[in-house]
Amino acid sequence: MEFTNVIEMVGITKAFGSNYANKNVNLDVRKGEILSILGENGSGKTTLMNMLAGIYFPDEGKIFVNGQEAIIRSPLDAFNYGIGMIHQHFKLVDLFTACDNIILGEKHSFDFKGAVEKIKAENDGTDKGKFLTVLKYMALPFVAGFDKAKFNLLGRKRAKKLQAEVDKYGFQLDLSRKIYDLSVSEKQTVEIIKVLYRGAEILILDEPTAVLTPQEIEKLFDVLRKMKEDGKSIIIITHKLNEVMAISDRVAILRKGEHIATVNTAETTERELTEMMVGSKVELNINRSEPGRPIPRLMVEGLTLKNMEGYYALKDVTFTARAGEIFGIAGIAGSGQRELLETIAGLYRPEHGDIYYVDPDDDDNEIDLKKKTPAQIRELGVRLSFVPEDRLGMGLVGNMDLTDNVMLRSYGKGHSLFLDRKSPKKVAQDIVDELAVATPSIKTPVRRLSGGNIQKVLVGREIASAPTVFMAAYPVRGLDIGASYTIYNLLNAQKEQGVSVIFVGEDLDVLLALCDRIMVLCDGQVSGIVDARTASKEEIGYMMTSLGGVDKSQNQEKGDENND
Amino acid sequence: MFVTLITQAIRFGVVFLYGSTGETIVEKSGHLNLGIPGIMCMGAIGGCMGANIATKAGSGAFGVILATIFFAMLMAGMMGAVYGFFTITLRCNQNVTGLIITTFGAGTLGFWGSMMGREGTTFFESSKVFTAPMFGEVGSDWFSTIFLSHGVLVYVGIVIAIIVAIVLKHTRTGLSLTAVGENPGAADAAGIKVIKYKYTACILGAAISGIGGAFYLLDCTRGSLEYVIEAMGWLAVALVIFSLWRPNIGILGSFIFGLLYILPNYVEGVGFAEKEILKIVPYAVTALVLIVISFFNKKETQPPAGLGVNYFREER
Repeated sequence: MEFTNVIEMVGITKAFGSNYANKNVNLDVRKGEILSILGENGSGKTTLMNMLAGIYFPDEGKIFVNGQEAIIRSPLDAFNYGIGMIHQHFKLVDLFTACDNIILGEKHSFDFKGAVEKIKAENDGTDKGKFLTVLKYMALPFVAGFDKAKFNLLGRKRAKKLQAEVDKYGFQLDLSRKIYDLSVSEKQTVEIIKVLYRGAEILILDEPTAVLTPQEIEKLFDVLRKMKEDGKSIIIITHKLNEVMAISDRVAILRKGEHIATVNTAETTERELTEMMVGSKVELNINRSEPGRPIPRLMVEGLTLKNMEGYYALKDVTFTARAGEIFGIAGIAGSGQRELLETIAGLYRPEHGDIYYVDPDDDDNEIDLKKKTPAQIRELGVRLSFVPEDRLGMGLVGNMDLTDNVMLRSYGKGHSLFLDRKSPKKVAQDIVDELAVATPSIKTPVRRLSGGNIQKVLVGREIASAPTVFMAAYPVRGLDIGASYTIYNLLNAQKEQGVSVIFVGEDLDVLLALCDRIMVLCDGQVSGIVDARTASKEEIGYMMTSLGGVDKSQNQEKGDENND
Repeated sequence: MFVTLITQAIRFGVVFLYGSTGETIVEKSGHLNLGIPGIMCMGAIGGCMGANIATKAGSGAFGVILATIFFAMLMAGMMGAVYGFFTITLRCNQNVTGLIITTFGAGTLGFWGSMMGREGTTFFESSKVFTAPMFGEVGSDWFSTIFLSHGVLVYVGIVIAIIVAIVLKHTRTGLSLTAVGENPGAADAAGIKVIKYKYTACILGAAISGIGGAFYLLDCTRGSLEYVIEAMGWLAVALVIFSLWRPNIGILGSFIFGLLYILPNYVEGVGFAEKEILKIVPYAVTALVLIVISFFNKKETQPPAGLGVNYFREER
């Protein structure tokens, strides 16, 4: 079969300082295919795609679009070559409506050639015709100016006009809504419409499924398949092997900035891909041991919390986390996971409800955490490591080095006038050694590390303090398989030491494989607590979207029909 | 008495209006230019020099006005370009850069003013063009006095504010500029030339503010050598917040600020100390507005999200 390559990247090299993000990468994208780009964190996937999208400019190498050499210096150039990228962190202006975001930056140029042709055609050769032609030529600049001014004005009904065009694609979205009102998957839809509207033939999606529920992912894949049928080429960056297998025609594997291979999806297996990606055989199984002595460690009863805007972030949440087990929390992003953990950590005052901690150092007496300050709660051994979307937002200070970041937890303990740097230095070195943090030294500012390594430091620091309750929220967010499994093993090790681990995760497969019990949150309420050994992914998926997951299939279908 | 008060309020308010319209444009591009007071000072120097040159050359009222506006915009625009070069190209801290420009501008105005005083140069002659009512002699009823008795630059300022408000709200240019200030990364990804927009906003905004400085010296003080523009510049920056980054609200806001600014001079029977305290009121009102809008917590009334953050596309 003959394939036409829409994109060829030849010998692409890009370095940041002394680090090579991409080294001599060759990649081709065929017309009408879905190409997955697979690789660990820091393997240069996003950097490579950013060079197509005009965010970065390659140090070496050439890019060919439709056989012609293309020099892409800015996102505008990329648009002109028909390349549109949907970034992992959406590039949308929150304050604007969906419509305004879509038309933002749209270019319009007056068709001088066409106008000249038209004038020539209208010239009938008579004296009068010649005179009129001269007049028309003279008026041309004004016509062009008027045309431009007219384009520049924003009509009041622009959202409605655009809506009609968008509806033709089969997207369901009210374009007059503001971006900050939209859900994550709706924002993604806006991004997709935006690139399509700008006439992109080649779409790049950077980890589009990271924040979607299983049902939303299916919908997205349907959209992608439809676009593929229209002859568009799609490049999708993802970590999730099952999605690679499900959606893509070919897979390109990157490792440490180098292109390892491009294989046909049909001719490969998940295991083979993983090996190519990591470079050595990896153990993909999570060793889940039986919980040791499962006595209650943390009891939460009827917890209700109002957030800053006055809505209920948590409603009547009740659960018990036991020692020596991993208690998973699942839910769509923003269902109250963060608020729950932060309330336990003492950062919020709940409206109602109780939080009791069973103190192993004090004869298993119950302690009311509501009466304690965050510092006291931490002293008791209830530790929180929360990895937010931007990774550096909570818990670590980007400009400080590893030692100083470790010291953030311990500086108050010293009794002398000056800081004790020796022991935090040792802890920092231990974290680097045990978790294999890739850093030039422990004196490097945390900001300079790659995302995965930052997370290792964040998780490692809390573990180093020997907690009794360890709350890890999204500890593997955006991490590659190798690093993720390091973290899972860390959590398992904690569990075996009798720590009560509370794990908030996004990937349902992992939640099911790692946890002992899973609590599903839906809109701030407990949708159910299931045994991770027997529950299925679909079951949890439905519980995430509707409370209790009752009448799941019927409701779901009905909902779909209504949307159509 | 009351009519005079309102008339003067409008007149002084327009100084703030120029400053705040210019600063709004700059802030919409994501740059907090605290150099506006200094830029208004530089605009005043440029405007006065332009006016005197044109007057000496014997040109008519129209020529004098054009020369004044041109030179005021030129001097102020140059300062805006300097600010832009430091904060956009070199990505220096915006606050520090702005404060340097304010210090520089205020100092230069003081120096230039004392030089003028020593030389014996006055602007009384050239200021007549600006203090003369634009619509000629009008009746002495309250309406005519309040609305029709002003010099030409008062109306120019209001028209500029209206145009800027329309451009910001109803054109793609305004949409792009707002996007640049809200989320430069998104604007860049949408194919907008972020750097171009930022420079244009910094220079044009500064240039418009500069007319305000010239207007103050040539109209409000009738060409006398009273060089206190810096304080008015700070009030202009405050007015931007007061107007919620909308020049059309700024028109009304500027009249209120103008009223509060001149009120102490018209209040009778209070001592010196009380008058000085009254002068604080505009700042207090701005603080009050900040408190009130924080209650609503509406995204639309917040400053541009990218304000004060320099943009670098390849930021890791």
